[in-house]
Amino acid sequence: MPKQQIPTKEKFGDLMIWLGSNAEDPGGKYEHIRQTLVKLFIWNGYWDAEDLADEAIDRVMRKIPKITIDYSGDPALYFYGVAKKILQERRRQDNLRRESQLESRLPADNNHQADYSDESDQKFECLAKCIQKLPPESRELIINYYQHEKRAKIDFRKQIAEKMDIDVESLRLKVFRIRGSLHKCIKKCLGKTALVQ
Amino acid sequence: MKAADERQQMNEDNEEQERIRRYLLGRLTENERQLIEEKIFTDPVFFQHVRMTEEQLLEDYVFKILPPEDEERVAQRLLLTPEQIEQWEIATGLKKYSDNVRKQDTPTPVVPVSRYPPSSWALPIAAMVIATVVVGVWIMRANSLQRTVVALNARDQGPGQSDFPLELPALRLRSEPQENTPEPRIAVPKQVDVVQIRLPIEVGSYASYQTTLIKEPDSTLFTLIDRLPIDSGNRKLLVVRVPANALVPGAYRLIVKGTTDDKHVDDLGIYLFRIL
Repeated sequence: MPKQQIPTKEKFGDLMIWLGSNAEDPGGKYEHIRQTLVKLFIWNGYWDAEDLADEAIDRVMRKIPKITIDYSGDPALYFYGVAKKILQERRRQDNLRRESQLESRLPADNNHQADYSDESDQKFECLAKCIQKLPPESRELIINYYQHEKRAKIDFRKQIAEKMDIDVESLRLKVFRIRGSLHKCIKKCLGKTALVQ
Repeated sequence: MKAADERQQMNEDNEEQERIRRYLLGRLTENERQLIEEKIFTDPVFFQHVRMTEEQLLEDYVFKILPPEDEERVAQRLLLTPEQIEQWEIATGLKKYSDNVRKQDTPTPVVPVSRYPPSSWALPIAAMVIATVVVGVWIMRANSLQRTVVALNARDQGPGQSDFPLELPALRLRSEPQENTPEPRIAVPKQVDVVQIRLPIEVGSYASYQTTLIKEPDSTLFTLIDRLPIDSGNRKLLVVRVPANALVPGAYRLIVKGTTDDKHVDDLGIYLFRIL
């Protein structure tokens, strides 16, 4: 797959104009498309999703003059079409690799669990600090929510939802949001810790 | 009327949620997948919904409430990138934190001594409790074996040199075992840690293979998906590594399936063998 070039300000501007012709907030639309591309590649099993998303955006940017004439429709779907082509190319490459038994889809040094285990104490400390910073009701909810496992977990989740007079899905949404804020807080905390060291 | 509408809406929501889970686990057809992906691109709210479902699957993985076949798919498909590993770590960390808090809060339970003689219900209740515990222990063992086998067969773990090789006869595709086919009988030496089941595969036209080991009559021990054969001389072998202590004496059935590039799964055949 050819390496993408750094987009010029001009090309990026053209992309924004095209997105702006279909959306009130072209910056927001661009962000959504980029995030979606990254996730699409991840959900299709590619760990180098960020690079593939940049490749897709680069290919679209290079075609903008033609697209603005030939294409009418939601720009996001155009990006999806390009992403599908990239996926097809990558799958073809993977099949060739498989046949020659060279390597699997993961890089040889992909060992996230081992890498992370060295830092896990530090991460756990940050997590504990961040939990303490949560508003009391969120803290209590998250601590309760993460108790038990297996069948007891499912029952306990129902009990918490009933107690709060909401359904399980709404409960999971609440926890999803709290976990999102914890994620940000942990990142910040780890950044600070790294600076101190 | 309103209640009926609400019920219908709820059913539709549940169906959509199930479709998203199947998408993330790689269980949709090409057309179904395309519909989901188009919606992800055009509907930011739906995109958030899929992201949330992804986190929920990781969470269910941490809580060990997924069936073994989904558990393996989560490990292979949703624990790939640093971001996903981070999400998994947060869920694991939260569980650890919560367990610590619970341990500190829970006083040691005091078991009251009954002053009454056992009632006529005591025996049946005791039998039920024992049965529940036995079933529970069996389920726990099955789940933990699934995880152990997945780890033993991870792609970065090459076949161990000290494994005990158990080579089964060449697989006849789309075959059921024949009545007159002698059933291999194998004695695994006591000092062996891992048994390496080696299955000669005659055609390599599948993108990957799936193997399920069943202890007769009907206890599924594990399922491995996305297996690739290795070259051994001029043959292709499918290798499945199993902890020796999981292969207790008895009859076993190993089911092999092939997955095509378009995710279609074909039954390829069944092996029978007996551990002495």
